[in-house]
Formats: sequence, C-alpha cells, structure tokens
Amino acid sequence: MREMHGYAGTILRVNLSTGTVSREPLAEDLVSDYIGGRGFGAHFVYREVPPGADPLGPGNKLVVAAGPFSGVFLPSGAKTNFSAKSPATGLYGDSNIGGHLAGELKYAGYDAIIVEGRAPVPSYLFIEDDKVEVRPCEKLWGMGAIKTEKALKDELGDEFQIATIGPAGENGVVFASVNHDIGRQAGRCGMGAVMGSKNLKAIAVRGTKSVPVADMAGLRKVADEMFSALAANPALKVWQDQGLAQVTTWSNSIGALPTRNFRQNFYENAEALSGERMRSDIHVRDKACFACPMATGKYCRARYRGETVFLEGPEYETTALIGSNCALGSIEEVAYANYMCDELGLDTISGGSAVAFTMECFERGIITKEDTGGIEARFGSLDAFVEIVKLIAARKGIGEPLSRGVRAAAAAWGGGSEDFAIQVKGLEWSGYESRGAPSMMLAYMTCDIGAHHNRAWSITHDIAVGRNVIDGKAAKVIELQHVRPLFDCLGVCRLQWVELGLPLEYYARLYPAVTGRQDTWDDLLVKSERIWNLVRAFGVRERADFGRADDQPPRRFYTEPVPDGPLARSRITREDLDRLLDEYYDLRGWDRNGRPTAKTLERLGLGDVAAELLAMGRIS
Amino acid sequence: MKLDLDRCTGCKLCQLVCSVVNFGENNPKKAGIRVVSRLFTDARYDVVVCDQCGVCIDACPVGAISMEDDVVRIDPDMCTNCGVCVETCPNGALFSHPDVDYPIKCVACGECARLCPRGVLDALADVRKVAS
Amino acid sequence: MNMKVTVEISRVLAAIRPGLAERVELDLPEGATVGDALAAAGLVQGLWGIVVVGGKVADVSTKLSPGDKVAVFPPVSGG
Repeated sequence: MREMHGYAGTILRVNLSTGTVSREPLAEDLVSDYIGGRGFGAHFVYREVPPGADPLGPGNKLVVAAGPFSGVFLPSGAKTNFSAKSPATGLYGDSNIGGHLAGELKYAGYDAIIVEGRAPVPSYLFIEDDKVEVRPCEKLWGMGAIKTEKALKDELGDEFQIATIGPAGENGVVFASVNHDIGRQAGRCGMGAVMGSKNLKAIAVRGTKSVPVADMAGLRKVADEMFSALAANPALKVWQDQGLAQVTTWSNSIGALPTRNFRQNFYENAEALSGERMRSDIHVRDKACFACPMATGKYCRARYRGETVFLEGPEYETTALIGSNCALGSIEEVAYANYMCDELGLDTISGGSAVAFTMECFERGIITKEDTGGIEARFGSLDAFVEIVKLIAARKGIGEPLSRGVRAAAAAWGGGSEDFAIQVKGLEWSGYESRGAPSMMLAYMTCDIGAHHNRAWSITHDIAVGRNVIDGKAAKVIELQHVRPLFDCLGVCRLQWVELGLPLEYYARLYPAVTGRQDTWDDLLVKSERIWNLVRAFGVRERADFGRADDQPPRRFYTEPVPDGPLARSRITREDLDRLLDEYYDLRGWDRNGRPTAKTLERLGLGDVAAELLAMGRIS
Repeated sequence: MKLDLDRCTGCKLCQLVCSVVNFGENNPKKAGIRVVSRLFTDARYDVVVCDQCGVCIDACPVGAISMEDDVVRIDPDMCTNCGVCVETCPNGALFSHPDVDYPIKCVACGECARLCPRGVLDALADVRKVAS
Repeated sequence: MNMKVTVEISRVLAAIRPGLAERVELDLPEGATVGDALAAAGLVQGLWGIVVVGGKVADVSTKLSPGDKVAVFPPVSGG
C-alpha cells in the first residue's frame, strides 16, 4: 500500500453492539475531497447515518478524526474533531478538542475512529498501536469526567491520551461534552451524549508509530519560521499569561458580553471576571496543547464551601456564559461552576445558558420554587447554579426539560420564554451578544451546527466597517465560514493565525510539505465550501421543512433594544435580518429558503447529493 | 543540571522536535526526552532527560556506551539492546522504542532547548556548548 | 517638539479593514499616548485587543517616548 503522507493511512471502525473491530485503508478520494478532521466527520455522518436516525440510538455514528497536520512538526497540530448527528439539533453536529489526543491517534496508526452501535455494558475503547479492545468498565460508570480520566491514567499510564464523558453524557443530556486533558472539552452539539448512548465511557489511546510526511526538509523550514515568528511575537506573553480570559474586558467594552441571559451585553461587574483577576486570584499553572507555544490553558484552583478543586479554565466562553450571563460575582465563583460542569460532563456554553435561562424564567415567575424543588434560582447565585447543573446532569426535576436544551425547556415552560431561549437550531448561543454586530448575528444564524461563534467570528469586521451597516456583511461571513473551518479539517489550531497574526501563507506552504499534494490554499477553500454544503444538505435531507426558519435568532434580539452599556438602545430589525439572509443565500447559491440548489451542489462535486435531494423533492 | 520545570506547560514540542532532528520522523515516542504530567498529583509537569552523568557507561555489559565530548553516547552497532542501562539509569532517561534496536537518549543536540517556548530546557543548550 | 513613533498592526488585524497598513510611521506631539497613536493610525476603539509597547502590555493611556514601537493585535476570536 502506498504511504499516504500526512496521514496514518487507516480508519478504525468499531461496532460496539457486536464488539467487532475492523480497519479500512484511507481512501484516496476521501482525502482529496474532504482533507480530514471535520471533513471526514461530515462525509461519514452524511453517508452512513440514515435519515431519521435517533441521535441517541445505536444507528447514529460517532466519528473521531484527526487531520493531516495533527501530530506533525508544526505549531499546535492538536485538534481532534468529534462528529455525529447531534441530539441537540437533530442535524449534523461537530465539536473539536485540543490537548494531546489528535497526534496520539495518528501515532497509534489511525486517522479516524468510527464508533457504531451500542455496547451491551458500560465500556471504554482501548487503543495501543495495533491492539484495539472494547473493555468493560462498570466501575467507571457514574464517575465524573475528570476523575474518570485520572482513574484510567492511573491504570494505563500517563502516555495514554484519554477522552471521557461524565454523568451528563451517560444520561443523555443533549449538551453533554467529551472531556480530555483535565478540562478541555469538545463541548458543543452533545457529542458526550452520543458517546453515552453507546455505553462508551472513554477512549484511551497510545501510539508509538511515526506520521510520514512528503518533504521533511521543507516542513522543517516552514515550521522553524513559524516557531521563530511566534517566539518573536510581542503579544505571545499576554497569551501565555492570560490565555483566552483576556477577552472578557474587551468584549464588555464593546457591548458584546452576554449578561443576564443576553438581556444585556454589558456587565457592570466585569472587572471581577477579568483575565487579570484570573491570573492574580486563582491561577496555578500554564498548560499547553500539543506543540503549542501559546499555552492558553490556565490550570486554576477554586474554593467553595470548604472544598478546594483544581480545573483548567475558565476561558472566555465559560466566563461569559457562566459568569456575566448568570451574573456571578467573582472569577473564583466562575471557576468553581466551571469545575462542576467539567466533572458532570456538561458544555459550559450551553450549561451556562441553560442556567441563565432558568434564572430569568424564575425571576419573571414563569417557574417557581415549587418547580425548582426549592432552589432560589436568582441571577448571581452560585448555590443555585450548582444545584441546577446537578439536576440537569441527573435529568431530574427542572433538570429534565433543561437537559434537552433551552429550546425544549421553553416549549415545556411557555409563558413567552421562547423569546429569550437564546439558541439557533437548538444549540445555545456562545459568548458574543450581537445586536450591535450584524455580521456576527448572521454568523450565529447561519453557523452550520447552531449558534456557535467559531465558524465565522466577525465582530471586528462590524466595528471596522460600521456596526449598523448591513450591506456586504454576508460576503465576509461566508469568507470566514470557509477559511476558519479549514483548520478543523487540517487538525491544527487556528489561534496562531487569528490571534497572533501568523500569516495564512505559512499554512498554505505546510500543506504540500506535509501531504505532497499540490492543492493551493484556494483549492482547499473550495473543499471547505464543499463540506459546508454537505452539512447543509444533511439538514435538507433530514427534514422536509428544514430551511430559512432554522436560521433565525431568538425574538429578544430583534424586539428588545439593548437596555444599557456602550450600545444602549441599539437594536437590529427584522428587516435587517431578512436582508442579511437574502444576501447570504444568494451569494451561497442557495434558494431564498436556504436550500442549496442542485447547480451549486454539482459545482462543488456533490452531484450524487444533488441527485438524492432532487429525487426526494427537497431542492430544485 | 537544572531545568526550569516551573515554567513547563507540558506541550511536548521537545519530544516532537527530538524525533524530527534525530530520526527524521514525527514521533514523540522516538525521542530522548519525556514530558510527564503530574497535574493530578502536584499541579505541575516533569521533564525526564539525560544529564550525562555516565552511570550507564559502567553498567553496559558490552561496552557500547562511552563519553565523547561530555556527551554519553550509545554505539548502535555494539548495543545488544539488553536493557541493563535502561534499568540502571538513575533518572529513567533512556527510552526503549519497539522500532529502534537500541535505547534512545539525549545526544545534546540542543534543538529542544532552542525551540522550547518557555526556556525550560536552557540547561540542555549549555551541554551542547560543552560538547561542541 | 514632535516625536517619531511606529505602529505595527498585526497582519490579521490589518486585513479586517481595507486600506489599513501593517506599518504606520507617525509624527506625534510630545506626551502623546497609545490612544493617540492608534487613532492616528486609523484604528477605532474596539478594533484592537492587545497593545504592546517595548515588550510590555500597554493601554490607551500609556505615554509614548520617541522611537517607541506600538504593536497592535486583534481582540481574541475564540477557538
């Protein structure tokens, strides 16, 4: 078999129902069409998960994939992508994780793992090079996500890289996370619940093999330039000190910090949650992903009611959704709440949002102490936060509707709460309130997995060209929706580019050196657009009514002006939103209902997908 | 030899570049240095690497290990991969790998020290100076 | 008396706004601050995240000295 440069060359397929483990050579067209990581995930989920499959049933598949840059000599080839049909949205979902898993998977000899079926008893997947076993682990079931990682490291050794779920994942909370490296999460879209539904508590990997590259001398030259440029970067030290926590102050200053369930975008107490306070009050040690000079991971200590805990974080998203959005009083309180979510195996973004939604419902009288089982669910209460997330993870009391996401909880509780259930497509909104940032609003509305910021982050574009300007914003969002997810395909972190300004040319030069393929950066962007459309097609195939209605923000954002802060009184109108969407769909080559046309799919090499959707009468 | 372990972030770039420079491969297990996470117990990282103390020289039953320019070197042609040096090393700094038929150890090339983003390994760069 | 100051704008930040140069040489009055330099370079508030002067993190009120290099980076944009 020809060595495939940049790849381990093998897909590992594990059927948990039968206990069967099989290996498939990595297909050339899979690599040339979909690159890796998120691209592999989108491909396998579209091709192998049948329409209508229960996301938490044995028919769903979990695809864990590294990319060609993962584990290779370059800055932070550290990203592992988890894809499946999402229990939060019923659509394609993915989430990625840093740490040390991606390279380890390739060193063990695999570019991806496809997990199928459901194990008869709680189990974990053991991988050490060619030795692959599904091992029963009843004793770990019910254990916290991080405690599980420790238990497996104690048993297997520190060189094993381990992904785990907590009780929330076991119980099918739709925003349950996958956890790795003591506090890093693939948090979004409920990938932890998919693992739990398969009775899969953990994946443990160790590998001793090499990842072949096409041109080692060329790779070393580019990588050396990149590492040197990072070392000389004057902002590196800020990143090493504060990581992502530094953004809290900035976000508050421009009116984007989610506050009190996104009613406000300015938190009067933001200083208490700043990166500086994180560093001075709770920081213990800097903690890096694989081969990364930035070390944005901040290992911290938090005390609460006589208990001292250690955790990684909180970073910005957590500080925003748990901190200001629930109006907590200090960075240490945020850190403890972060720790609770990590152990329970809950996404801190959706988890924070679910608690904030509960607090608003409680303060408005939509739910009462009778509903909450006595919890005074008021903004600012860490006690309430802790009790509510425990109920969510256990799916008991108010935790049951909340465990299905804020959209479902609003449907259960009514009282107009749909208007402030802050989500798109069933996925809770991440850390940027966007009434004063039309392109960012559009980015959230059209993000393929639901309201997540990582596909297109464009607030600075809004600030640069005008925060009320609508025209031209869609083009920027689309450009970012192709370039940023490319990093998730390549299996490399994009922070070195987006934050420290490492030029994209470096990555364009890395690609041929690693893979031996001659694709230009523009060629890669076309592949990224293909993946974007394949993900959209998944939704179109899934539901006859899928389309424009799924791309809407909660009503709060176009009916309530911002009450205070730097953007007081600003708002975005329903008409603005429609104009943004029209322009976006037109530029994408989709119809005005947000469905890709057959012509667009064919242009992107998805002719068979076009034929399938045409035959179903879903597109024209 | 004193490493500035308090600054280590556990990124393992040292392991990766070691395999790249000394074996021409991307393979952190094929390296003469190890980063060990002690986060769970002590909230810190450890780095395990040879300090060129030479205890293994006398331990080697076939005389395959010698000191050259202050650097302890294993002659791959003489080495029988018996594992005695691995067992003897007081620092646990000789590493076996299934694809390499002799123990892997630091040869003081200094590349890890050059790339370490935190200067944890500056002391290893000094060894290179002595060696060259 | 005026002083010469250089503003170095991170490439990823310069790309956000058409016409924004990566390097701007400025002639500023004595006592000028980082905020003055950024405004003169065409950077509106909110557009930048980190500012470093002489290897140290600075803010808008930091006073500049002749020959200073002001390095500007975008606000964080998350994973």
